[in-house]
Amino acid sequence: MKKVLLVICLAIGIKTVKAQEQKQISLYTDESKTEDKGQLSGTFQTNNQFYVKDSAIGANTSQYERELSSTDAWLFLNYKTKGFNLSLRYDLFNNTPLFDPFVPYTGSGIGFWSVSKDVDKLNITIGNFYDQFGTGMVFRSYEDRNIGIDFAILGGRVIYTPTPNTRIKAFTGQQKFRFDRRQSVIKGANIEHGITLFEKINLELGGSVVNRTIDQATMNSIATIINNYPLEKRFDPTYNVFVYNIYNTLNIGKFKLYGEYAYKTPEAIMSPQLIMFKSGGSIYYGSVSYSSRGIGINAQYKRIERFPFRTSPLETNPSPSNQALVNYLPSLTRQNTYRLLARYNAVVQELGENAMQLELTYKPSKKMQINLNGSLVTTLDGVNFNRGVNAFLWDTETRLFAELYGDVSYKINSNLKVMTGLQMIRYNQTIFELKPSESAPFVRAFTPFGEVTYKLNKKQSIRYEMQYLMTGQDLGNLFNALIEFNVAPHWSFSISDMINTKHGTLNKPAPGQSFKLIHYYNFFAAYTYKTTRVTAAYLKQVAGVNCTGGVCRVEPAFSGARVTVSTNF
Amino acid sequence: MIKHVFKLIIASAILAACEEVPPAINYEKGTQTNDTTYITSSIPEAQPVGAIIEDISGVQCVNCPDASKIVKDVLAAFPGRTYATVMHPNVASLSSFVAPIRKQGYESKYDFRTQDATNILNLVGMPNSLPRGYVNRRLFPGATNGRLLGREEWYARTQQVLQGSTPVNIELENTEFNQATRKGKLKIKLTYTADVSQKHLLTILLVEDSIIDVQEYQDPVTFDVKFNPNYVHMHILRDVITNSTGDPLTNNPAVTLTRGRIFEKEYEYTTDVELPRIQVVPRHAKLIVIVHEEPPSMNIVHVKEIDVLN
Repeated sequence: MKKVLLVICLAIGIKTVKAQEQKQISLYTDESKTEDKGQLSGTFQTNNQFYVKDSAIGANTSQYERELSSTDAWLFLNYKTKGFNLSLRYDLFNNTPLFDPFVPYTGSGIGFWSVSKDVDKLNITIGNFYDQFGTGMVFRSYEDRNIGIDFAILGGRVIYTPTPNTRIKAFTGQQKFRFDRRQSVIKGANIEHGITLFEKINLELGGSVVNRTIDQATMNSIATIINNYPLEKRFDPTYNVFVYNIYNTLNIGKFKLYGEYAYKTPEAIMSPQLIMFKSGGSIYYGSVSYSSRGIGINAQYKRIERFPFRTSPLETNPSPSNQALVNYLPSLTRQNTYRLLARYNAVVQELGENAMQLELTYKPSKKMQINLNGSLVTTLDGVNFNRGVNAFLWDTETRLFAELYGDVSYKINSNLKVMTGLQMIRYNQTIFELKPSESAPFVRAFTPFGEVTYKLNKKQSIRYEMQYLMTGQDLGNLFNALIEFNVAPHWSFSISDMINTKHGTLNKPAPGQSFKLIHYYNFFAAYTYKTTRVTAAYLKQVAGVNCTGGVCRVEPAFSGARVTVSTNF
Repeated sequence: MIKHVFKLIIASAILAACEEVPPAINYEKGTQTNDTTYITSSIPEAQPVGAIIEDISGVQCVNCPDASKIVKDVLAAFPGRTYATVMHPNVASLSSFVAPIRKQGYESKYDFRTQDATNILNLVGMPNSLPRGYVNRRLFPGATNGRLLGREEWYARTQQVLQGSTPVNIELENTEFNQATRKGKLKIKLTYTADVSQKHLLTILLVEDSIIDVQEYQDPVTFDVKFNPNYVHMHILRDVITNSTGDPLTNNPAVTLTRGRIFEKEYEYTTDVELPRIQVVPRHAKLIVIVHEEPPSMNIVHVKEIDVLN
């Protein structure tokens, strides 16, 4: 009996110990669960404009008479927990000129959301996402707040990485349009693979296919428009268009060669005269670069033939934020930053262009650097190798844009750095800004510029820059000067003024009237504290083209105040 | 890598190889023989708005005879203001309803399917089953299936349309129908009695009554599916004289649809639509003239009918 009791006691004891062990394990597990509290991060940005009418510079859109102020704001939150990545962005637009400078827009809501999860070698995303295939010439979903672009896709995407050298992507969805969606469906797949042939030779191969399907309501509108055309101009539009590309980067030591070919199946596309026609398209793009100590060379060439790729051919709004672009055609011209050097930009001509660029960076010593750049953009007929020695043609029919640029910077001592340079521009206003040819002749501009930076002490520095744009066309000669005072790490102040010193063809004084000097001044202050930056400016901005990477929009003149706040956490 | 590329190429080739059916584009040489427009200062009184039921039907659709009966009732209830056409679309997904009957002893003499009907359905809305129809191609508030309506809704919706008004008067004159050549001319006068901001299109339907041919139906007593070889088909759409999705009233952007605007148009047509398949009997034929808005609204704003033989 005692033995039986002993066995029972042992059994109970063992069970109790096991239960405690299990409890300890489950407690430990619970503890480990509570340790994963997730990680919340985010960014916030707001831009506010206050409008002060100035008819002298053409700042007289409806905002100056009715709305008087505008606000844009974006709050982006990201939460990571247990392998999930949750993103949410709240967008707010009050009377914003961002989407169309002439028509204020008001709206707010969830502008972006996504749920993403890594499962072994697979990444799955549902909701909104930004992405691009290769250089983006067949597909690019991106955001550029400066010009109101938000081409996020709302749908699903998987990224499979079977090996470290291989990545396969596939997606389907619809393009976001403010707080709604474009009705066309876009889907695509892309594969990239890296191969090392020898120690210093490797390949990075890629290929994509993208398909866009037009919805029935849009197709009904397209068919109705085509049925209104004269019989000889009618054609069968297609619901589906397929776009393919193959590309490769070949790295051989200090040389890098890139080649890409893209093809688009025939579909209805819109001419500049707003008449649809059916055509396929293609792009040839190549670049060669060499980089060594003290020298860098990069040569690029691109030929675009009828390659507009939008959610619908009926999307013809001149403002890029409303153009519903599925792809991105990069510009092969220099991206200038100085105010007057960036005045004339070559908007990529999706219906056809030849573009080429040569860049040279030379650093003969630690103190000196020389940058040279030349770029040329012509119509399709501007380059035709069938013409033999006359392969390149630059005349009134073919010329679009040319730029010659050079700068030299020299560090005189640890406190003083100077830079000077020249820019020559040839610019076709009729094509790029759709101005009438009789009042907007071909622009020839010559702009010397310079900059001096002087360190007063460890914390304070002064920077001075100037540019003098000389042209007999457009708005004539413009002079811009800026002086900036920086107090590290918090403060930055600047004052600048741009004046017109001589009229051009567009601002010629009326008979009997004298030429008026106009000031485009800018008073600016910025305060930075840790990750937060607040800026305030009172300025007058000349009408012109605002570009980011070849995507541009024509903006009216601005007069008033701007206040921005940006932070991340 | 090669394996992945190969799979990608195969997948994209399969996608691209699927041939799609394009929307209706009219490549026919215009049958319009006269087209003028002007403004009048003597504006007539607005006509009461007309309504049209576009009945989507098929010879193998057992409930379609019931839909035809409803059409007949609606036309009888609102005489002179309501019209009908019966469309047999040439659509693969509906072929089990619309294909001619090939049952021994009950073989169809005619094939009522037309590409014009298909084009209209592609534009306005494609049904999954039959019978369905549109009433003035309107998208009614609360509609759950787009512009497509079940036959039980046709009466009420027609009544609803007839309570509205139209900004355009239609006057029709059918002249010079030649029995020998089987060709005729239709004169149309459109007078705008109110300003319109949207673009309008004109569609002319050629329909035929009293065609006797086999029709599948359901016996109302036994619920058995049966065939009636002597069924009288009415309002069958035989041809669209204009582009099937409509001709624009004008291609001139300067011509606006303002009060007092008049369009005078003349179209030539034939009753030998598609020899030898479609030969319309002139004494059973009618022309229905529809004025409708361009997509995406597509609403029919007015409709009138005239017999081929006056």
